[in-house]
Amino acid sequence: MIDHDFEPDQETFAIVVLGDFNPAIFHPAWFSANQLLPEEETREAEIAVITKEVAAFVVGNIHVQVDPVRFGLTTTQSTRGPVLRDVASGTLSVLEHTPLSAIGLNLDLQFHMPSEADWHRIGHALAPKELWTPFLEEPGMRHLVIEGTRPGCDAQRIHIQVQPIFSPKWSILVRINQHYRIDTADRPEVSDRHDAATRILDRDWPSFCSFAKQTAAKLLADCLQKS
Amino acid sequence: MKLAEPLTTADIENDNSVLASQPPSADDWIKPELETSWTETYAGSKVPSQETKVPKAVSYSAPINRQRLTTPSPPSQIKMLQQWECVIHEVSEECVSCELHDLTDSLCPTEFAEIYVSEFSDFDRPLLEEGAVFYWSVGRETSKTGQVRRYSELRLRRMPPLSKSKRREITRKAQQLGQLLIDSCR
Repeated sequence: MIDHDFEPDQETFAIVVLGDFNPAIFHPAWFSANQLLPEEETREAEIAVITKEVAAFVVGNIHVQVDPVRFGLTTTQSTRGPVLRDVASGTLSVLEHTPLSAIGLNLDLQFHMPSEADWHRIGHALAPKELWTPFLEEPGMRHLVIEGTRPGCDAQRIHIQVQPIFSPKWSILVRINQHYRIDTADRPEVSDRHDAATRILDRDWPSFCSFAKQTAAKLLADCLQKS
Repeated sequence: MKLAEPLTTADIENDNSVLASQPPSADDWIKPELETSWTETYAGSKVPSQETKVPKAVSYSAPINRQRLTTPSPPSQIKMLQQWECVIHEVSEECVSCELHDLTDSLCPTEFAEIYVSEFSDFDRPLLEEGAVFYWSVGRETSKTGQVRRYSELRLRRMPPLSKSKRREITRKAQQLGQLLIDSCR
C-alpha cells in the first residue's frame, strides 16, 4: 500500500463577490480610511490601474481587482488567509448598500509529485485512457472539472478542477471553487444579501479552507493508491 | 505533431513573460483561458460570466499592463506550520495575555499565552486592547537562494466601525431578545 502525505508547495486564496461595484472608489487609501488595512501598508501599495472601469492593485500581499460586476481579492501568502476574509467581510460591511448577487471562495493548491510516473498516474486515475485510445494516440488529461455539493454546506455548487503543471516539472494544480448565489427570492432586500455574504465569509471560510486542503491532498493520495 | 505545453496559471505566475513568448494563436490551449477573462467586462460589449472562480484577470488581462496584475513570485516562500486566532484578555505595559484558538487544527484545545508587546508591529500596538483579535502564524520561510529561516507573524484583525443602520439593527435585535427574556420570566 502506498502512503503519501501530500503537502502543497503553493497555495492561492481568493474571494470573489459578484454585484454592482464602483471600481473608482477602490484605492489603497480607501482601505486604510475604513480601518481595513494599516495605513503603513496601503502607503506601500503597488497600483496597477484605478479607473471607472477597473481597479487593480497589490496591498499587503493582497491583490485587489474590481470591475463593475466583480470584486476579487487574492493572495498567495498562506498566512494571509484569515486577513483576506477580514478584508472582504469588512469591505462588504462598508459597502452595505451595494447590491450583491453571488460569492465564491477559492483555493488553488499546487503539489509536486514524487516522480514523473506518479504524475502520470494521477491523470490515468482521474481520466482513464481506455476510452480515448481508439481516437487518439498518447491521450493525456489536461483539465478535469467535477461539480457537486457537500453535506452541511449552503453553497450551490463546488467545482474541483485538476490539471497538470509543466513548470515546475511533475506538479499538479488542484483548484477548488465553492460558489454561493445570494440573490435568491428568499433574500429580497440588499441587506439580506449582505448578511448572507458576511455569514458565508465568517462561518464558511475556515471550513472551506480545511475542506479544500484535505480534499486536494486526499484526492491525489487516493489516485496513487487506486492506479 | 507534438503539442506545445499548455499554459497554466502557475506558469504565468512564475513567469510573467510567458505569454509574450508564446503567441496565443500558436497554441490552442491558451485560447480557452484568454477567451474567458475579465477583458470581456472591460470592453463592455459582452455579458460577463457569472463565475465566482479566481478571476482570470489575475493572470492575464489584455488591456492592462499584465505584468503589474500578475501574481508575482514572492521574494520568499512561507510554509505555514501553525496558525492561531488569539483573543486578547489583558494588556499590560509589556505583555499581552491571550487565548489561542488553533486555526490549523480545530480539534486542538484552547491554549493561553503571554506575548511581549514589542513583538507586535508598531501600527498594530494602538489596537491592542481587551477583546481584540490577532492572528499568530508560525512557519518556515525559504528565500530565493534557499536559505531557511523561522517565521513568526502577529497580525491584528481590523474591522470597520459599524454603520448607523447596522447599529440600529443590532439594537433592535437586542431589544427583541431582551423582551423575549422578560416575557419568559413572567
